[in-house]
Amino acid sequence: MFRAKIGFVVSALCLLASGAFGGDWQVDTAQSEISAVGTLNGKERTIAFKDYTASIAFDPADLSTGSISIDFDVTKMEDPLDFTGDVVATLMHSSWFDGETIAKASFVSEQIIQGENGDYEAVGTLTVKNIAKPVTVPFRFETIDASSAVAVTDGIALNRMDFELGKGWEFPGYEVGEDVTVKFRLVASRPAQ
Amino acid sequence: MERGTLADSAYGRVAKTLHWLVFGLFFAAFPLGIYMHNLKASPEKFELYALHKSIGVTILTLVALRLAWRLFNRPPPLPADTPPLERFAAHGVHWGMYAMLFAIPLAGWAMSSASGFPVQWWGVVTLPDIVGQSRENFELFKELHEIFAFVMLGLILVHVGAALNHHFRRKNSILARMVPFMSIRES
Ligand code: HEM
Repeated sequence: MFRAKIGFVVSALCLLASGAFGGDWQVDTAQSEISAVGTLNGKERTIAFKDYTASIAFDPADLSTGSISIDFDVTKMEDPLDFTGDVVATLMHSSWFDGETIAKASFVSEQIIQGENGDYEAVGTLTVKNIAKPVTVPFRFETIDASSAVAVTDGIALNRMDFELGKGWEFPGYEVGEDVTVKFRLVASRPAQ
Repeated sequence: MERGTLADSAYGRVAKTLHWLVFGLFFAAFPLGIYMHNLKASPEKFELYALHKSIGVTILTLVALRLAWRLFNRPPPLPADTPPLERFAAHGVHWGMYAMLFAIPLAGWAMSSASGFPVQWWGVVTLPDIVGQSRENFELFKELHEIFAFVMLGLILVHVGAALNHHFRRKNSILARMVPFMSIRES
């Protein structure tokens, strides 16, 4: 009860804060999804990131004011097929995400530019396992109504070895593909202007 | 009954080899299954799972071969004076073991399919999934896999007990005819 009240006050403050900054978007994490699709013995396997905070400023009319910054807590990932918990536990192992020591991953944009076919591109840095790499995130931006919109990407192609994920995982029987596609669908809103 | 009267009806080299290969592999897969199951999640745990699965699929293949071989190379008959009930029990245990040797690896395979782990055999061949992905399927086949494995263990105990009984108490050549290099005394 008390917690719920605090939660209410905090979110009310956030709303006020976002209003104060004009073009800032509030991501509705309950409706949004960020996931990574890899392969295991040739079969697709999806991991969903459940805990992240995004701060997004984006105005299609003026891309120069745009910025995206997302912080992930990688220890809060979910694999819907991980019935025993072994998969996520293994992904927390030091040869994978090393969640115990490095819970944080992030994406920070440097600039947002116009991409092809009306898409946008957030050019920035992805940091996973304390390894930072330049990444370009193509996305579509679709307004739902005056105060809400969706940002969607069909896929950001990454190589997990760039971030030393699964380094040393080289035994036959569980072949994990190096190519990983990150997908997201962010539902966000801001006070109507 | 004098040992040796079944001399010309010993098992052939192929039957013996397959029998003892499967025996050895079963007693590798079984303790490995229990050991790995209790490990904390880690890459090493998955490495052992991979080993367990490869051994299991090897057993499945060898047992299929054994049955096929058996079709064309009938096993030597039981001693003529075997009581009917014992005959029935012996056949029951033998067929029960064949059934389990199919059912255990198939259940393991299904369990893996259900949880999105296509089975790889020694990293060479990836087997197709045999059931759909779902928690229900996973729990079901995991349970069956374990139950069948313990049923098999029980059957093996009866089987070994019976073989030793033939050898040491009845002093016939039932055990000797399956053991490599064990001479069946001529009478
Ligand atoms: C005759 C061959 C096999 C034998 C005797 C055998 C025996 C066992 C045993 C005794 C366990 C431990 C059960 C428990 O405590 O839960 C086990 C676990 C397991 N087996 Fe097998 N197995 C065989 C073949 C296979 C095959 C072919 C596969 C998959 C392709 C497989 C997959 C598994 C898996 C995934 C577990 C772990 C279950 C868990 O930890 O939750 N097994 N096996």
